[in-house]
Amino acid sequence: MDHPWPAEFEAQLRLHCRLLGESEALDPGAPLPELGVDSLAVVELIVQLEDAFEVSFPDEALTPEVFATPVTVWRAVQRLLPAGAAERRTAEPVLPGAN
Amino acid sequence: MDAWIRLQDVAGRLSAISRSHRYDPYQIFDWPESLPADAYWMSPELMTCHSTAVWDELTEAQRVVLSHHEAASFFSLNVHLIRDLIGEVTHRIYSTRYPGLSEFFHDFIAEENVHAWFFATFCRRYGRLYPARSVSLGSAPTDGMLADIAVFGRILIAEELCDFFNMKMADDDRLPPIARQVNRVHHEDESRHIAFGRQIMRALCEGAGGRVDPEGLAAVGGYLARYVTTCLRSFYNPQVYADAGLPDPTGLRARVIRDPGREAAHRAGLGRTVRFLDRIGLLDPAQVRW
Repeated sequence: MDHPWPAEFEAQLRLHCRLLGESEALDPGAPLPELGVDSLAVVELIVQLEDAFEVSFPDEALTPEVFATPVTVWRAVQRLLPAGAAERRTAEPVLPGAN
Repeated sequence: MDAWIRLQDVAGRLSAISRSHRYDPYQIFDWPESLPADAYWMSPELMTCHSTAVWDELTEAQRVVLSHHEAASFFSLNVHLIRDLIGEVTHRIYSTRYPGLSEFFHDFIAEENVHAWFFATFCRRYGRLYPARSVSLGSAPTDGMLADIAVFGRILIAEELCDFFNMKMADDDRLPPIARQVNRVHHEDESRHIAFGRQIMRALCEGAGGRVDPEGLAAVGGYLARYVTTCLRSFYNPQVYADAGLPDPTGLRARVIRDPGREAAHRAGLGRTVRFLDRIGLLDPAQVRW
């Protein structure tokens, strides 16, 4: 499956997908709760994404709509990255079952 | 004595104390126009950078300024935790699962409403009310008794952590009198809520034996272990570091969270609570990431 995000993003997100097997592909459109990501996990996910991508989620981005699926979260991170940074990071390969 | 009967007895006595100690929050605080800029507003030992390499790099003036924003951040966290618990307790106030507790719940909600008001007033007068950095995905346990154990466990963890801070700061004469008073008044009310919280957790866990799926109960224990970590992490807010004028606030948060010096502070704040939850057979301390 082609991933619209860099390996680093998938690795961070997978840490919190408690219902997703290691060898299972991460469906970009899967609701986060169905992957095992709950309200507690989101608090940690926010911190880890901010650290990994050196961004800061503005308060208005901390909504269930933004944290609905993997792809909505990645789009929010992309919007916070400097121009061109998202493309450079996405060019990094995603290893199968990366976590 | 059965834990539920004991709980009703405790709740009745706590309600009586609460009603005889009622105060007018709009009269007891004498809010000054401003607070001294050269004083700590939060005990330095309770600040998020304390006992870390970052702390050693800060000047005394930077520590003092940071304490102003960390005080507002701590009180803001209290406001958000109270909003959560008022909602949950209100939802259960006339639940048939809790016969005899409705009177206590009314007193509890009234007091928590007052606490949220004076915490928010401090923040808005002397700093800012920091927004909650969380997103509700609504995936906590929802099954009747298991949901109650998760909710009252969450409330107890939050209250005991905040009370640890309140107790220390109520008597810290490095702090302005209004900061000490806010902490003291909260501590005096919270001691009743914590007494109730421990009793209801004992009763719920005792009642759960044989009535709920053991795997479900273990899952709630795991959920609460994660909640302990989430509560502790919520103190590390990069916006606070930015407001204090410190460079690279996100990087600074990463450094202090990872600093081994913080574990002792975390255990001091919630170690007793975790041991209690272990004693009642709910939470395995090994599951907590300090």
